[in-house]
Amino acid sequence: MKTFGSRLRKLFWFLFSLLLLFAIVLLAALQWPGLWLKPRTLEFAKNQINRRFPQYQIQWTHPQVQTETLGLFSDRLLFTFADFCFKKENQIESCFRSVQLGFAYSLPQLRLLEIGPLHAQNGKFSFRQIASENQKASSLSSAKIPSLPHWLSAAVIKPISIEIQNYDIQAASRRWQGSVLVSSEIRSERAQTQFSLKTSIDDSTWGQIQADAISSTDQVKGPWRLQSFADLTLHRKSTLHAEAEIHPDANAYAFEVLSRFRSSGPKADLKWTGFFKENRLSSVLNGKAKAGPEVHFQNCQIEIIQQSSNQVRIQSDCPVMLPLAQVQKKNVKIISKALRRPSVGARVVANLETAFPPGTTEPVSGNVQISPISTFENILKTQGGVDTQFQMRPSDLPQFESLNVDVNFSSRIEEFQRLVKILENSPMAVPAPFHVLTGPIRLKAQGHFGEKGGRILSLFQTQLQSEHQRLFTQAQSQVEVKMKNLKPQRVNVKSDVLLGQIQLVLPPIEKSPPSQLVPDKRIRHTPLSQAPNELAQKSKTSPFPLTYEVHIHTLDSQPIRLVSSTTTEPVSMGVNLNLKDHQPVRGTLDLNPVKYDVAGIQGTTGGLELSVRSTEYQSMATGQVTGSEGEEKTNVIVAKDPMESLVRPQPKLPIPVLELATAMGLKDPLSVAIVDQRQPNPPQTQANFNQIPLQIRRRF
Amino acid sequence: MLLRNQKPSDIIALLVFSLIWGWGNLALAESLCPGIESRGKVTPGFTDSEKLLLCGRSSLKNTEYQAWSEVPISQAAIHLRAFLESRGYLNPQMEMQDNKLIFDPGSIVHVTSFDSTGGPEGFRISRRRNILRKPLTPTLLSGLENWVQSEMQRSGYPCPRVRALAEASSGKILVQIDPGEKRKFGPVYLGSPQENFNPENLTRYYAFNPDEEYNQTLLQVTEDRTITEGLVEQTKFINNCMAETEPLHQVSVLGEPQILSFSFMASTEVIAEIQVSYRRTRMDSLASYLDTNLTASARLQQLSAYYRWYFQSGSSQASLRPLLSVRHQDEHPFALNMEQAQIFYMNHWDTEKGFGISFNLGPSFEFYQMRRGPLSGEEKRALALQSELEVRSFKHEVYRSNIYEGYRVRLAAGTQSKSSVTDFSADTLKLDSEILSNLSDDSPPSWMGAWRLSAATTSSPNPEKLPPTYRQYLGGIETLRGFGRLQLPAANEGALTRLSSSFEIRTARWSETIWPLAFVDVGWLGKESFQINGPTYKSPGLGVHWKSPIGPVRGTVAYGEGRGDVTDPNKNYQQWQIYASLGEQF
Repeated sequence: MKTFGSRLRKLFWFLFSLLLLFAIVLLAALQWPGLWLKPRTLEFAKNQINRRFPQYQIQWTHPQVQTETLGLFSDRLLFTFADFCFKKENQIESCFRSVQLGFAYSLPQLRLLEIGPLHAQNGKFSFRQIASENQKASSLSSAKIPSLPHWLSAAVIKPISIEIQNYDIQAASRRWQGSVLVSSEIRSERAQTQFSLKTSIDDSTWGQIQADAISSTDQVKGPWRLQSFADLTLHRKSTLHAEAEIHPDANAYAFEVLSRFRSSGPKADLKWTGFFKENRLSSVLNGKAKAGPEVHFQNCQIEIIQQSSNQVRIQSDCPVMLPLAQVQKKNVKIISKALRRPSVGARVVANLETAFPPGTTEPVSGNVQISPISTFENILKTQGGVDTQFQMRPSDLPQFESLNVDVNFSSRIEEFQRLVKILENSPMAVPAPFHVLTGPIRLKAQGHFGEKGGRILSLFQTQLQSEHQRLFTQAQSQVEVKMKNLKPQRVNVKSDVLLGQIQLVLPPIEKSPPSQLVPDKRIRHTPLSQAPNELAQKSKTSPFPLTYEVHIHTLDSQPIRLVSSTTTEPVSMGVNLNLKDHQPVRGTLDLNPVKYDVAGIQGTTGGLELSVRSTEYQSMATGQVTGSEGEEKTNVIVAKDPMESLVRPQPKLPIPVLELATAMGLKDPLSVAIVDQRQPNPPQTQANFNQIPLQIRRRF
Repeated sequence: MLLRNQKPSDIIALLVFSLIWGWGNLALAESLCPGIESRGKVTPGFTDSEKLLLCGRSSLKNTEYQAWSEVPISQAAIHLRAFLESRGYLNPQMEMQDNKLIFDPGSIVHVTSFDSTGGPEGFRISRRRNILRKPLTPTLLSGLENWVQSEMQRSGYPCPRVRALAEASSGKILVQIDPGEKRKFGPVYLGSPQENFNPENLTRYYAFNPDEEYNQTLLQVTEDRTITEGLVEQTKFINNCMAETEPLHQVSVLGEPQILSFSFMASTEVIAEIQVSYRRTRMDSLASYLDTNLTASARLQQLSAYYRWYFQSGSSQASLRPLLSVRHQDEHPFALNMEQAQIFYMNHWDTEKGFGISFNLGPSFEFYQMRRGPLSGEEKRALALQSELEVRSFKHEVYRSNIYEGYRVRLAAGTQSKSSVTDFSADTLKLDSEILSNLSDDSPPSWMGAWRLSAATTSSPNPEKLPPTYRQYLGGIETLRGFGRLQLPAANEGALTRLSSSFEIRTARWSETIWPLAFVDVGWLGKESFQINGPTYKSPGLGVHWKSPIGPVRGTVAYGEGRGDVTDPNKNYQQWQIYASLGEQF
């Protein structure tokens, strides 16, 4: 027993000594890692990793290790490699000409004290996403904030510089290529490290992208606040400047994106804020976009929820507003008014489902409800809206797989004059002589179309009047959509515009009307080198199968009446015009005889019946003048035709006819009367008597 | 401190200057109306109509024009920009202050350069004058567009599309051109007959063939002829560029069939001349017409009537023209009464070479009563066969009012033999020609040249028995401007042969309405047929043509020189001759 006990004791002491020796060696190894951490050790470790994990490959040359003892069991290690490569089979390949990686640790505290310096130079990086379902599922789930282990979170970040000269990332059906430069700068006064990420991306879809990202932190645990600035030169000479800020906030990533889009046409300034947490992205969009009229996005709620590994739901509630009175610069009073700026617009509520990640080939289904709204319901009342249910694949020309649209809305302005007052002093002020009119305006639309097409009917009415003016009109329109295999085959718009009772007061002009009332579009305030060739653009035909037919007419018993200072009674005019796609405006204008008084010269004009044809480049009106009491009858050609010379009309035509000529699209009404000023070589109507050109000629 | 060392007179001057300067600055901020204020001068000022559209007019408040008593400021801003543009102020500064529109018109932008793109080969926009350094206005752009379109249409492109764009900041103009397809005239759609009028009659005046390349000049010539003849009141060829397949349309306004016209002219040669004419057009299905004309001046009183009878078809210009005329002519060398009865066969052909040919032939019976000059108191009868041949370019026809380009040659011949109805034998030959040229090859021409040649001769076995109208004289605006009307030769008997030529250069370089000109006229006379045996008469001179608002005004001063005379070898001419006219074409 004694021997056994003695042996057992010896064994104990042996084991204890062994353990102590191991502990001493271990402690010595930990305290002085330079004792064992040699290049040969690193080579051994590399070989073991490559053997144990064959999908990973690590390569380097000329490894070096530097160690520094910082305290008891606290050390700083610095590894240096040349031609460092890390590869994961068919997915990641990353190589650098030289890599220097350092860190410091404290064993008593069981944590890393420092991370860095990290210098990786002359690198190449490629990543290819493997489109397996599991990886898809992990995409948004991985957006969960990883909880940092205690040993890592308090580590101080040391200078870092990573230079990737070429990277190639293929993911989500996209490919990005470019270069990255990440560097950090230690600011001693705040004991913070400023990261700067610079990357430029050549992408066939987006054009040139340049991005800078800055984050200020001195520890791994943060607080992280990533700010990035991106300037994208997009195709068609448009630019997008985006500033994004992302930071973890209460177990979610909060983000704020400020973007400014500029192009020769549309412009947009948008602010998108929100957070994403686990499988949900909640955001609010505000801002304005201008593509013609300026529309405002006000508190536009957008939520994206990942429902399953491959399904995502997009919900939005987005008021899109068109301000009617906009702010004038340097006008304090108007700015104060702008706070209660009247706007009209639509509330777009969408509930969509699509695959995750979304793509142009993935189906989108759901419904979109659009309802008109206004910020001055006491003046503009709206009701109903457009309800659309569909399934489609978004592409350049959307392909619908199912479609169901219900339209039922109405809006009404009870008192036009109240609208006039609201818009007063704004760029959208109602112009004279319409600004004195009072009365209601109504619009109603109803219809449905589905997979085979459908029809939408609308009715627009004005019942406006003042003491001397009336504007009673009614427009009935029908939009007919014919679809085949859920593709729009034909969209036909038919409209009947009845000018019921119209009496308008023309400005009391003494002599001749001004030559032009609106600025000439040919005079540009941008360099001519930027002006597109408008003549070439005109010859392009739209691929969209839209046809239209508009009939504008008066009733025989109720012609348009124009009050003019040049006539002693209103000019009565019957209108019958037809506008059709790809065809000139055709129709007739019938002016009844009218008494005139121009500069003291009094008389009665004949009736004028004009047959009108007009396009942008050619306008012509031919017709007949008949005497007021039947004693005279002659024909007249009133032609404003750039292709043709002008023909002098009857001198008896009253000035309102010239004003009408403007309305008819005859570009310069004066040219109708004063032909010789505009013709390079006017016809000489008295040429047979060229020896005596001072001639008065009268036919009877 | 500064003023302490100044003289009192300097201080007063400074005060006066300050007052003027301050007043000037105040005056610059001109209030157009309570809602609009200008910080600069706009030239020319706004018209009453423009002010109404900018400011409204409060006095209209209780009238039916109440709607125009006020104009919303945003509407006024749009009108204001347009009105300023029409004056060349393309970069105005506008701002709103307390509901007031304050604007600075800036300076007038002038055209610094103009160019074109897309034009056919050979087209030079630089030919266009009167664009550079002119105020850049919408009217100028339209004028340039019209000119380019016109140039295209004269080169075979009936439907060009032209857009002149201007850069407001620099004054540059770029004209974008799409000439379209080159086409031929093709068939012309004339419309259906109306009011017993056969539209085919219009084709009589066509200066083009359907297979010929499109040229707007020929359409202008056609329109011009048709209207001048009085067949219709207005006619116009309309290219339907809206639909390529549609043919050329000729749209006409028939007008009433009777035309009464009255015209007036005054000059230092004829004092005053009045013409009254009556024409009855479209008298039958082929649109024949009757014309009567009364002319009265200090030199000539004439009443004539003729009937132009088209007898073949609506498209033919072949016609017979019987004419009756009574005339009293009172010139410096002679005075006579003449009655005339004539019937001419007339025809006209147009070629594809840019000119037309006219031919007239027929007998003419004339009865003369000489009142003064040669054969004074005698009466003469003559039955002659007369013919005329004229070659005239289309450019001469279309530019005749402005005398830009073209040529015309007219040859007339007559013959008569003594018989029971003819008192004397005589053959006459007369040539008149004119060539006009655009010397500077720009548009409109800045330098124009003209060369005229006129010659006439009479052959007769008994020249002493010829009435004065068979004798040749020189002098006056038609031949030698350094001499009085028919001043040469010295003797009233005249000569049997004359030849004169004129070289003239005029310029529109400095003004489009007032053209200075310089000329040299030379002439010769001969006492025998087909012989020049007199001295050379020279008449260099200067003049001016003015397209005045009341009609063309023409004035020349020329120095007439000639050593000797066919009728009086001792007679020398050295004289100044002044001529002025109103209403006479250039």
